[in-house]
Amino acid sequence: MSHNVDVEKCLEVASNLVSEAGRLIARNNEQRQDFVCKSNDIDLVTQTDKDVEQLLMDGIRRHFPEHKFIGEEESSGAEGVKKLTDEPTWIIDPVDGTMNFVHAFPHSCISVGLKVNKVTELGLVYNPILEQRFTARRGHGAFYNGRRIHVSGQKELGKALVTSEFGTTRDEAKMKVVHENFEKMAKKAHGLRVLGSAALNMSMVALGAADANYEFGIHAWDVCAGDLIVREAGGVVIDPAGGEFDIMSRRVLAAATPELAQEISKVLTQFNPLPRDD
Amino acid sequence: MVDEKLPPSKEPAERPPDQTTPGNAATRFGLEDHEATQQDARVNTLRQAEERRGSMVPPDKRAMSMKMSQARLHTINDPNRTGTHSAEATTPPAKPAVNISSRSSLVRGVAPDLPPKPQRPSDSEADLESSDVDRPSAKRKSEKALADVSTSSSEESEKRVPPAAASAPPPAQAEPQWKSIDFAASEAEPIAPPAPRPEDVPLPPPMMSSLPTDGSPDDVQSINSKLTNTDITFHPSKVFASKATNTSGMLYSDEENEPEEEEFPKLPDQFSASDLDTLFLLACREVKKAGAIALAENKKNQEYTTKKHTNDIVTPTDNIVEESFIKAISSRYPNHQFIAEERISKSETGMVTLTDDPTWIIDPIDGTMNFVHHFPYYCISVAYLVNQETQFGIIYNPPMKNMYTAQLGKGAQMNGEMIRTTGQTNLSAAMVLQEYSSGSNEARNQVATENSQRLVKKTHAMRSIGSSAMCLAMVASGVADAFYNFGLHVWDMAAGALIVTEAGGVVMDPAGEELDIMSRRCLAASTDYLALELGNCLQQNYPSPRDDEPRSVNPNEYGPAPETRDFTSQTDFPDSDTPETTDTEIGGEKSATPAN
Repeated sequence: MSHNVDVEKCLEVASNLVSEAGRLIARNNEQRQDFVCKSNDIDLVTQTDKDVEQLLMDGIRRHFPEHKFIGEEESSGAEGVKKLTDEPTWIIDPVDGTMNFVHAFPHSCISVGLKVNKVTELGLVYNPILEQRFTARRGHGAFYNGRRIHVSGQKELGKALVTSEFGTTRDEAKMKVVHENFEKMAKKAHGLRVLGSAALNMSMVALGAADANYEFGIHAWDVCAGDLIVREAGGVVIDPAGGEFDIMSRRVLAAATPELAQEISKVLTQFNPLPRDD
Repeated sequence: MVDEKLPPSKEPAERPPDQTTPGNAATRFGLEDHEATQQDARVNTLRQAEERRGSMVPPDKRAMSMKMSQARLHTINDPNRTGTHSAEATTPPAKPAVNISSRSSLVRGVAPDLPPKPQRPSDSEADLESSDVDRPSAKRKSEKALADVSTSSSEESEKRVPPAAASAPPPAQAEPQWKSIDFAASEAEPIAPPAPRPEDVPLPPPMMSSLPTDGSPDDVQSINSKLTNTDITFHPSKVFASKATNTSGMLYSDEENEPEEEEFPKLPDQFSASDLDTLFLLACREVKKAGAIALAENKKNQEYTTKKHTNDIVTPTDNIVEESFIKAISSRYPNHQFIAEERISKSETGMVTLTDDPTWIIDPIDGTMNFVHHFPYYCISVAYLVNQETQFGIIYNPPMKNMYTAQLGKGAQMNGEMIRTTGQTNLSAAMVLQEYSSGSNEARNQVATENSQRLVKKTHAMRSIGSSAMCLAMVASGVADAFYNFGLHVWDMAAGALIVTEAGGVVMDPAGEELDIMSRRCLAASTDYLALELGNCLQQNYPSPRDDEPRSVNPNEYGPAPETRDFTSQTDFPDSDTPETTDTEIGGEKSATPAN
């Protein structure tokens, strides 16, 4: 069954809610948050994280009662991650870069994506601390604070600024691969930056301030919005092994050009996070 | 060479017929600009061109006056805006003071959007500030040219928004349009001045009588706009749309204006260097100006030269910023010494000599790699030492508009607000900053990698942002807990070290001993305990030569010979210029808010 959605209205509703949520985050950022651990990872959850997700979901339900949700906090509950269907589905990370938020490091953001018939129609990434707002609608381009943006066009790894992350799990096998890839990127790339938010890393690629971003161990809510924003800015998003991007695989490689993406793909040591998000 | 020729041939084909004339002008200007950034001699030519442009500003104001007069008769939007600018530029000093107070309250009120009108008064403030400077007329004109560039850029940003919002054209089509606008706007400046001169004579009386009337409506409109913004705040659906049209230009203007009011009172023409408070204010002002130069230059594509290896780069802007700052200080204090990154780099020995004389230690652009990529973490770092003791330090990040400062014994501030380190004592709960591939020195890169692998297990989080001075500033302001680096230089850490200690933190040698700023090693942390704990985890590296040793001590420090790369020839950057402008304007304004 095909679903029809008024994407323009969805964007308007999401923008309003994200602004409201941003004000909440900015206020709480002034005070350090006590944090608790979950799932024995050093992934953090704060009251803000929960409050923001609830605010977003309640707001969207008021306008679109039949829509579905896949969110970071919801997915950490008893049910785990939900299956993605053809239903209009909002994929939300209420605070991406929670570690940064806890430390008041100014790179946390709200990430909101909307998929209809499994296709991403809408992406929104907002860093309330620095007032950076990235938006994209499928086929309509990518925007930064209302202005059209485009990737850098870089094709050579040796001239590329690459962003990546250590990730939150401390699993030995994964950390070995992370370090191996960091070492290779440090030698081959022009520069390597670690800012602490997957969604903002991808947004920097869309903006042209970074040329590529790769990471293993992310989740669908970390990259759903960023994926569309990068592509609408003229960049590419693929699987780190060089194939087609699979949002549930927990792997991502975004780059300014296909040439750069393939070059990085050849350099990376691969890692397959388990379980998949689906 | 071929690359340089291709763009002109493509642009005419893509441009609509009715833009032919502006396109031709744009092409000529574009080529000239491109050439100017490639060679030192051309950079001087560019600077002279800017000075020439600056000299045309006064006649331009008369042109605006005429347009204002016409606007009152015809009520056309664009001429009206220009006319308003002219009126504000000529307003008596008393009124700007009122406007300043009003805008300050707006900023502190945390209204998300600001009215368009106050943008004009900020231009007049820039002019007033320029007039305070005691320097040759050439420099004054140069500064006005910079102010003009900012205004022009802001206006261009506003013009660009409607087409994108209305039709969302494909990127390929958007690019030539933007280029055309840029060049046309710049080209228009030299043409405007001559035309209105004869007509100025009959106009003065009506203009004079109209000034009070214009002032009053502006104030009323400003109040109404403020109320409107307040109203918008309660209608989130409009916030985004409003920001698209108002945010970038307005926030930029207000942010630029407020620090000037608070931090830069009028300075005496002559004062002794022993008057440290006034000297500090002078330095802050010059750093802010240098930041404006860097920001303006960053909107262009940058060729860079690798000084020692492919990751240690210098752009023309490094040299421009460094020499303009040194000139500003040495013209007042000819006996002062300078330790500046680019001068040292060009010298025969590459050796730093620090004496008891008053000495400025300058890094014109720290994080040059970020700068050429338009990554918003680059900064200007300036420290002032007497008898080899740091008296004050300044770190300014132009894209974020964050200025970190410290005077010895007086604490540390960011944009005028006191800052403190986190007080964190536990490494496992700490966010630690470090850098990768700080050079082509293999042993050092290996040490950085091994330290990273070890620390990621012992710390809460590791981050890498690409500027040592910015890392120190972040430890000082409490958004990170610790930082360490091997291979940095004295100019990377001189200012930041004082800012960290004045913020209550610790700066030492990574092996746990007292900091030696010539050793090219640095560890900073929020507390003693954290610093020692971090130092104990590190595998050590001892860079050679030290900053106070000549290069000949270790000829193998850097492997391959320096090479020149044309960064623009293979990278399509024009599209990223505009977003970066927005980024610098927006990010700067809001990043100041947490400090309040």
